[in-house]
Amino acid sequence: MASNNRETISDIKINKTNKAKTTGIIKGILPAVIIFFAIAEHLLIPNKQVVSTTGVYNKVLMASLILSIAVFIISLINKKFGKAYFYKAPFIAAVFLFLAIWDVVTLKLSLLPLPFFPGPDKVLHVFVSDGAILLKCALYSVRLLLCGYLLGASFGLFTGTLIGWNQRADYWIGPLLRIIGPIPATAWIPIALVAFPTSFLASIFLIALAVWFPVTVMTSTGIHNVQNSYFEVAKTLGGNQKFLVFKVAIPAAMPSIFIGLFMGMGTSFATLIAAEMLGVKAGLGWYINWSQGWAEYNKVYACLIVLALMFSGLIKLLFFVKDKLLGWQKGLIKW
Amino acid sequence: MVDERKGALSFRNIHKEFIDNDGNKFVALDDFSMDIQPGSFVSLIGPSGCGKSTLLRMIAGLDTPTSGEILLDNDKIEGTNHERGLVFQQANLFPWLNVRENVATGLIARKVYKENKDEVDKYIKLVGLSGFEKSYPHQLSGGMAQRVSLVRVLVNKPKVLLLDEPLGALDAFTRMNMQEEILKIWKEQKVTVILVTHDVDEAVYMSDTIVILSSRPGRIQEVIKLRQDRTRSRNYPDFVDLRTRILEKLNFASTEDTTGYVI
Ligand SMILES: Nc1ncnc2c1ncn2[C@@H]1O[C@H](COP(=O)(O)OP(=O)(O)O)[C@@H](O)[C@H]1O
Ligand SMILES: [Mg+2]
Repeated sequence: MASNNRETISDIKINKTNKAKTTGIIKGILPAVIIFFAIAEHLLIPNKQVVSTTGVYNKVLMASLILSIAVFIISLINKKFGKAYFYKAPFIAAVFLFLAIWDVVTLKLSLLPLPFFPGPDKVLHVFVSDGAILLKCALYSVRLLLCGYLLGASFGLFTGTLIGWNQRADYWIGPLLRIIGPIPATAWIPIALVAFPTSFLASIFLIALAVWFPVTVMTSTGIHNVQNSYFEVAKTLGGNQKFLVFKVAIPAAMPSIFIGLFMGMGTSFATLIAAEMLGVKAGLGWYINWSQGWAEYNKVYACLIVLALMFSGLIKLLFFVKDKLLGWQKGLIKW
Repeated sequence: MVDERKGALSFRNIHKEFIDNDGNKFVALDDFSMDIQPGSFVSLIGPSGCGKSTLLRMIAGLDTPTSGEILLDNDKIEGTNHERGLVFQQANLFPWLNVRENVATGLIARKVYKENKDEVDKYIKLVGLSGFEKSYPHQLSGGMAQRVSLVRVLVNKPKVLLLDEPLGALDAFTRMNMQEEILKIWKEQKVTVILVTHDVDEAVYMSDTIVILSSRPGRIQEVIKLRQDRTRSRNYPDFVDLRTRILEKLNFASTEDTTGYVI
């Protein structure tokens, strides 16, 4: 009787794993199927929008189809890779489904007005026709952003520590911070553009300002909130003032400092684009503005895609740094 | 060369006042005078709020007496110094440092870490934490954390070791183990120990002098000297007598208190 039971249980188990396996395989092949339909739709349905197609979209879909089939085959061979891919596959399929719907709504049925809503082919073509310019603009923007961000973050760390640690500094700088700080950095654009010799320097200043405020606030609050007992322990162990600041106050405030750094990253993106749209004659913000001037909305969309990739990449980078520095929080606080 | 480690403490008319929330003066500790020989083990016992922590904090240099002075080897205590190490009731480990880094904190702060690297490992081993060097405080049990907080003070080789109910939060078994460890270290290092405790048994078992404090204001009620050469055991004949005597005193100290302070 008992052994019978056990058999049934293991039968169920085998059934279960079999079932999981088939759903996994179905998930894994889903992207290829969707891409296949997207290609069919693109090639078979006649165009209603009167625009020339470039074939770039078609080529991208073809390449994706081959890739998705290749990846599917690898997934069947490599179990670990397969598990990761089958997990992601439905989402990837959804992305191509979105592309197909976009293609239908624009190129095929012309439901959305031109030039504001071009089809995917038009947008993807920009990466071919304007790729070099986009890359240059992206590099230019990254350079500006990083200069401004690093400068603002360092200053923020410095003033934040000063205010958080020294009461007299808080007395003099604190009110300034609380009154001037909340003004969005972009509001300073007109003044910055005349106050600095070049628009590049003006933009660096604006971005730095945008980062400086949240980093300062979060650093000083972080330091204010450090448990007094940590300082007492450090003092009785023989730590001097310098030790208390750099080895106790700042590390203890680090989680709060990182919140400031993340907030500053958001404000710096906004300021970067605004500064480039209004003053600087290069970069992605400028490119968006310029394309809009020519009513080339496909370029605007292409640029938005580049921006999205760039910004999310930078946020990922900051998360990486945070995980390195705040490794001790692992299992303690979930972000 | 023999390490000349003294650690004689003398308290001269210590008086400590605080301003309470209503702005009234309030005496936490009054007329506290006594001398403590180098290398002795003194326990402070008394109802809560009688100023035991305040006294330790003044020795550590975290608080200053309103009047009177405390001398360590004839020098007036001013400010904190690694010679007077304080183990707090809570472990208060730095959560961003691992066990080894926490233990090394004092050495690093005093810029003597390089030449004392081995000491860090020695002390970690002494309290049975080898293998946990890389663990972070939140991964430790209460007893382990308290051991770390003890050795991070010991690694500094203080002349005076101040223990503010360091075992209060531990379970009975861990507590007994730690008591043995503390006694072992005390004997080895000839350090002067001042232990604040709620536990009469602990005081009787560990110390050679017991100071009973009364509350509001905190004053010395009685000083009990134990035979220094006695063999420490938890059930020697005098133990129970002594314990009863102290408990009676403590009871007296708290019933006299009309405000009804809870122990
Ligand atoms: N910083 C402070 N400000 C005001 N009152 C304090 C302060 N520290 C301690 N006290 C008061 O002094 C008294 C003695 O405190 P404490 O030394 O912590 O007592 P014990 O450790 O014996 O329980 C208590 O009544 C406490 O409220
Ligand atoms: Mg206390």
